[in-house]
Amino acid sequence: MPDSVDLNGVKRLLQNGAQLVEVLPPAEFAEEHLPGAVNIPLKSLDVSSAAQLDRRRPVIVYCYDAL
Amino acid sequence: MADYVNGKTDWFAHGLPREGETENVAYAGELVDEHPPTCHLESSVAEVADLLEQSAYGYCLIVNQQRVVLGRLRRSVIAGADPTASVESAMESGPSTVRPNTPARELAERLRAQELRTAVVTTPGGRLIGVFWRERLEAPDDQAGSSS
Repeated sequence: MPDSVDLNGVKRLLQNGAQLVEVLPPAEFAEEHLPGAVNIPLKSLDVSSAAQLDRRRPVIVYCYDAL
Repeated sequence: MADYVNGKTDWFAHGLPREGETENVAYAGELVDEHPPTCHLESSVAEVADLLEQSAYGYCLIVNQQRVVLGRLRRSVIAGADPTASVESAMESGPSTVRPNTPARELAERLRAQELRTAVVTTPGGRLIGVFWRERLEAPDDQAGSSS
């Protein structure tokens, strides 16, 4: 179960080298995303798609909003 | 793994950088005057009058130590107020604000429709980012005149 983080938590993790993963569909990612984020849509999130992530660094996942 | 629950809406609403196809669409937060006249609740009406004397602004924003916007005092109200009174007693509380990720052109059109010239831009938590001037979209280098 991932830990919930707020904006300050995200900033702290990014300072420590965290990776950002947007789980929205590709079109929404293409339109606008956080700097440096990679797109792994929720529907295609599996071991294979997650292999692109660095296991040694923290991972922050996000979507559109809290709803 | 961490879940940024409030997501990218929250990130952009704080005026933070973005990448993607809309990167070149100007957002209100990128065009603000970051130094509008501000004062604290304890300031007097006379102090605000002095502050606005040479200002293009028609109002002063009342902020706390964290720059959270608490109210606004308009020049027109100052004229009829007791100069020794505190700003708190004369201000209007909780003025309307917009988020920095509002597209600038859309905001300018909204302001034009309401015959307003400025919009106060804050984070979702109310921290002042700056004031957006409608005219700046049309003439970015121009100095703005009086505000509404």
